[in-house]
Amino acid sequence: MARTPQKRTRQSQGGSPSKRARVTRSSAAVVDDLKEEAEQGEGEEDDEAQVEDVEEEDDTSEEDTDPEPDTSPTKSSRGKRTPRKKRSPSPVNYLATNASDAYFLAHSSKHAPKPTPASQKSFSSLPQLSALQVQELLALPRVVGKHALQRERLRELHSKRFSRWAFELEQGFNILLFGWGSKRDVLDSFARDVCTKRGHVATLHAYLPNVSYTNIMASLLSLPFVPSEPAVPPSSPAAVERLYHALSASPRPLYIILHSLDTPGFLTTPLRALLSLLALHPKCHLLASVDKVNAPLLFTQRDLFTRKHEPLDYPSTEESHLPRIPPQRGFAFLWQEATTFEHYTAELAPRASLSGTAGPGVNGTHLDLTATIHILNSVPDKSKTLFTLLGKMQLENLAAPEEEGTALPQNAPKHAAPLASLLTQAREAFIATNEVQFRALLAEFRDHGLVSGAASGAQEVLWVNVNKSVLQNVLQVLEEDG
Amino acid sequence: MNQSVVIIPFDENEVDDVAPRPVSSSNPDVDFVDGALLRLDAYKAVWSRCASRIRGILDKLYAPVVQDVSRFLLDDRPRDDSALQLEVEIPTALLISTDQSTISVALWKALDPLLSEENDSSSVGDGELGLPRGVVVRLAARACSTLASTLKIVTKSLATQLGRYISNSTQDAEEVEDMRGVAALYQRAFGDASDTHKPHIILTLEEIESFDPLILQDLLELLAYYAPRLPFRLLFTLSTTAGYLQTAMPRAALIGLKTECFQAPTGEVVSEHLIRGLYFDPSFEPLIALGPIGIHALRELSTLYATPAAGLTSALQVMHMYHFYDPRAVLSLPALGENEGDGEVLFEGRENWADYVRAALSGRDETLFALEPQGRLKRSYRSLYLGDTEDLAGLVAVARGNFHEMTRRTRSAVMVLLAIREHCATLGLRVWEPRMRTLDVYQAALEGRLRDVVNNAVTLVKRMEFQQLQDLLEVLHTTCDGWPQHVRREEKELRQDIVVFKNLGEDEEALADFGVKLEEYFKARLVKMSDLALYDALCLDGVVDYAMDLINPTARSGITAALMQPMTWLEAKLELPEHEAGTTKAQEAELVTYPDASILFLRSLEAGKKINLLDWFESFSMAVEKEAEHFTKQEETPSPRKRRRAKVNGKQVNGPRASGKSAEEEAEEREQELQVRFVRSVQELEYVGILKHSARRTDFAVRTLFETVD
Repeated sequence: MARTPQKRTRQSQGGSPSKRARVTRSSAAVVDDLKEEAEQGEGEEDDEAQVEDVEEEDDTSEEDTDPEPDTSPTKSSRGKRTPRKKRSPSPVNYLATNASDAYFLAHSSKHAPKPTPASQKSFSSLPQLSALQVQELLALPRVVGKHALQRERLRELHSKRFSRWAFELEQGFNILLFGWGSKRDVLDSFARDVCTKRGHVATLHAYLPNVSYTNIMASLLSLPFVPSEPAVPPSSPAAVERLYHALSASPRPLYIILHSLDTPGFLTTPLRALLSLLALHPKCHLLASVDKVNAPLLFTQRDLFTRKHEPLDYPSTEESHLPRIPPQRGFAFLWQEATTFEHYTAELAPRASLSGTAGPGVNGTHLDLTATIHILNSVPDKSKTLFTLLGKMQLENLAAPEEEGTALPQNAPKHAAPLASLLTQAREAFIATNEVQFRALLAEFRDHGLVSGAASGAQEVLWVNVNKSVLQNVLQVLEEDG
Repeated sequence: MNQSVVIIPFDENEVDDVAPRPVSSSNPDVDFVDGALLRLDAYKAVWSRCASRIRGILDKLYAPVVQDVSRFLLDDRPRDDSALQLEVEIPTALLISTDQSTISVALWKALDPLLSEENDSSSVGDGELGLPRGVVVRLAARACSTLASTLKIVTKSLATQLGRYISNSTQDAEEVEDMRGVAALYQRAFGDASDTHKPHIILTLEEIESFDPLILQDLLELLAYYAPRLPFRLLFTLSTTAGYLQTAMPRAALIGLKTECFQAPTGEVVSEHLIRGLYFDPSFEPLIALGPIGIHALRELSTLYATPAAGLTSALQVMHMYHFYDPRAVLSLPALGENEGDGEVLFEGRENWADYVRAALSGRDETLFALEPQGRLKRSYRSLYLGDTEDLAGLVAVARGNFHEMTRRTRSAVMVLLAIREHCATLGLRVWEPRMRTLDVYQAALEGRLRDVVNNAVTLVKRMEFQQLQDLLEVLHTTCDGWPQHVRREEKELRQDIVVFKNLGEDEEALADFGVKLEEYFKARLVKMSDLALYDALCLDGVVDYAMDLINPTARSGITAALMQPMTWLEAKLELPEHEAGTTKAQEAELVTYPDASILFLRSLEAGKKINLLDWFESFSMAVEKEAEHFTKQEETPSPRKRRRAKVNGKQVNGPRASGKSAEEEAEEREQELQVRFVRSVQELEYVGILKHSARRTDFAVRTLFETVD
C-alpha cells in the first residue's frame, strides 16, 4: 500500500493534532539528517538501512532489516531488489539528536518494545484445560473449601424451614424456591426428609435434556395408585384424566419435586397444561425451583394466584360416572427465597457438555458420555454408523505403536484418522457415495464439537473429541442399540 | 445422575405418621408443644371462618353480573321481528373483568346447574320434558392454534353432548366431523321442540385476547353461516375493553354479532369489599384483626399489581398462617383465660413464655385501658411482672376482650363518619380531602390519623341548617338500624342522641350540640390500633411484609442482592462496615472473602455493556490475589496462648512447601485454578441470565442487568 511519508509518520505516532505536527517536524528533520549521512557514505550498509527504515516506516514488520551481517548471495548483487530478511527492532541508541526526538523515537510503534496489542489479547488465547484438569482443579481442597462452612450453615437454616414448607403445602399452596445458588440439594433433602414419609414422590430434573412430556407421564402413570388397566398411551388426554382421578382416590398425597422449572424449553404447552392441572389437585403438592433472574415472567397472574380445586365428589368409581375435572389451571405458588450459594454443577453439566465450547477458556474440553449419546440420539442412523467407523479407527490408532514419519497437520492429535481412508470405508459400507454426502453426515457432529478436523495441504484428518474410555463406552452403547 | 424422572412410591410399612403436626414457631425459645397444637387449632378455626366469609363476599359481589350473563346466554330469545333481518345475528356477551379467574369460577358455578336444569317447568305436557337449557363448549386459546383444531373441538364436543339426547345414536354422534353434521344432529335431537324451548348452543371463548384474530375471524364467519340452523350464543371474556374486538378484527367479521357488554367489578372494588366485609362490617367480628399495614398491602396488590381476588385471598391466608407461627397468637383463642385453671395450664413452669406474654400486655398507651371497669390493666410492666401467672391468664382475657371491643367501636365510628362524609358531599359541602376513598379512611382510622377528617365532619355538622341536619340524622338512624343487635346495644348512647336531636324543633339552640356529641363520640372510639394491648397477638400487621414477599416476590433483586452482599447470607452475624470504612481499600479487603460469582458480578457492574473476558479475568485474579494470605490468617490460631504453644512446638508459618512443588509449579497451578474458577463463575452468571455469551464474539460477554442499585 503506497503511503506518503508524512501520512505514515502521522499514523504511526498518533496523539493530539499539535503533538502530531511536532512529531512530523522532528521526524522530517531526522530524515534530512539521515539522508545527508547516507550521501556521505553510500557503502555503509547499516546507515542505508536506517534511512530506509525511517522512510519506509510502517506498522508492519515485513520490511524490517536484520542488524546481523547479511550473507545471502542475492544481497551482494546490487541494483537487484530482493526482499529483506526480518530484523528485530533495533535499539534507539543510534540516533538521538535531542531529548524530544529520542522520546518520540523510543515510543514510536517500531522502536518501542512492543507489548501485545490489546486487540490481540483475548481470553481464548490463554492455555486451554482438559476436562480432567478442570475437574482436578475444582476438586482442590482450597477451592472446594471456600465458604464450605457457610454454605453448610445455610443448608441447615433451610432445613429448619422444612416443617413450615410442609405446613404451607398442606394448606393448599405449592412452593417455588428462588435465589442465588443451586437449590438441588435443598429440594432433595426436603423430598428425603419430609415428603417420602408422607406420600409418593416424583422428582423431575428439568435441567436434563432428555426430560419430556411422555417421559414424565409414563413415570407418573407407573405410580402404585394409578390403575394400570386398561392401558392408555402416556401422551393421550385420557392418561391425564386417569392420573387426576386416581390421585383423588389415593390415600396418600403425591409430592412433585421439580428442579429448575425455568429451564428453557422445559415448560412446553402440554407440560405446562399437565403441571398446572396437577398443581391444583388437592392431593398433589408441587415444590419447584427456579434459577433465572427472569423466572417470574414465566407465569401470568392467573397462573400464580389460581387456588387449588375443591375435592371432587365421587359417587361411583366407574369411569363413565367420574366427575368433571375443574377447568381452573394454575400453580398457586408461594415464593420462598432459598439462597444457597451452591455451585450449579448438576444444572450446568448437560449444558457444558452439550455445547462443547462450554464457556470461555475451556474450548476443546472433552465431551462426556451423556452429551455424546445425546448428540448421537439426534442424528440419523447413517451418521451413527459413520461415527462408529471413525471411533473404531481412532481406537485402533490409539492402540497402535507410534509411527515416525507420519506427517499430520498441525494441531491434529496423533490418533486422528485420515479423511480419505474414512471416506473409502464409508463408501464400502454404503454410508456415503460421495464426499459431499459424507461431509453432510459429519456436519452435525462438527457443530456440536464432537468431531474435529484439521487439514494440511491435501491431507485432512478427523478425530472424535472424547476421551478413550468415553469413546469405548459410546461405541459399546451404539453396538448394543444395534 | 442422568435420569430425568425419579419416582419414590410411599412405603406404607416404613412410616405411620398420623399424629397432627404442630405449626412451626417463629420464636421457639418461648414456645411449648401444647402451644403449637393450640395455635394449629386456632389457625384452622380462624381461617375457615375467614375463608367462608370471603367466599360469601365474592359470591355476593359477582352475583349480579353472573346473573345477567346467565340470563343473556340462556333466556334471551331473538325478537319476533328478526325475520326482517337479512342475516341472523348471534347474541354475544362480552364479559369484561380484570380478574378472569374469579369471574370464571363464579360464572361456571352459577351456569353449570342452570345448564343441566331441564325445561320442565314451562313445557310440561308439550312432550318437551327433559330438554336442557343449553349445550356448552369452552374454548381455550392454547387448544385453538389452528382453525381445524378449533372446529374439531367444537364439532366433537357438540356431537357428544347432542348425542345424549338421541336414542341409539352414539355411533352417529361419533361420525360427525363438521358443522353440517352437528346441525343435522341438533335437528334430530331438538327439531320437534318449539323454538322457545330449544336449547342454546353456547360457545365460550375465555380470554379472547389470547386467541389468534385470524382464526377467530374464520370461526365467526362459519358460525354466522350456521346461525339460522343452530341457535348460537357466544360468550367472550376479556380483561381489556370491548374496543379490543374492533381493533383486532375487521368490521365484516363482527357484523354478524349482536354484542352486549357486562362489566365485572374492578380489582379496587373487590379489595374494598373484601376489607370492608371482613374487617369493617359490624355484623362480622373477626378473631384476628387487620391493621393499617395490611390494608395498605392488600390495596397495593389489587391496584398496583392487578392481583385477582384469589390472590388477595391467598395473601390473607398466608398472613394468617404466618401470624399463627408466632407463639403469642395462641392468646387469640376465645376461651383462653376465661376458666380458673387456664393460667396454671398455660404458664406453669414456663417463665420465658409468661414473660413474653407480659411484654405483649404492657408497653402500650395505658390510658386506653380505661374501658376496663376494674382497671386491672392500668398497671405498668413492672407490676405485671410481679403478678402471678394465674392473674396473667385473666389479664389476657381482659385485654383480648378490650381489644375486640375497641375494634368493634372503631368499626361503628368509621361507618358513622363515612355516612356523614357521604351525606355532606351529597349536599355539596366541602369535606376534608374529598379524594379520600373508603380504604384510605379505614387505614387512617386504624393509624389514628383521622383528626382532621373528624374535625371537618364535626364542623360541617355544627354548621348545618335544620333540614340538612334532619336529613343527616335520618341517614345515621338508618345506618344504626342496620347494625346487629349487640352492636346496637353497645352504641345505645349514640342512637339515643340521634333520636333526641331528631325530635328537637327548628328554633332550639341545643341543635348545634349534636356536633359536640359527635366529637366526643369519635374521640372515644377512633384510637390508634397499635396502642392497644395484645396488638401483636391479635392483629396481622406484624407478618404482612413476610406474606407479601411470598405472594409478590422480588426474585430478580433477591438474586442480585445475594451477589452484591453475599456476606449477609454467608456471615449473617458479620456487622456491616461503617460508612467511613467503606473506602476502596476496605472494599478490596472484603472482596477477597466473597464467593467467586459475587466478585465477578461486582466487577461487571463497573463495565459497560460488553465485557472483555480477559480484562474481567485479570480483574478477578487481582481481587483474589491475597486470598491465600487471607484464609491463612483466618486459620491461624487467634489467641496469644495458642500462638505461644505453636511457637514452642516449633511450627512455622512460612516453612518449606509441604506439597513438594516448586514455586513456579505452584504459581502455574494457581493460575489455572483461577482460570477454572473464573470460567465456572461466568457460566453460572450466564446460566441465571445475568450475562449473555455470543458464539460469534467468544472473548466478550454481554451484560443483561443494568438497573442494579447498591
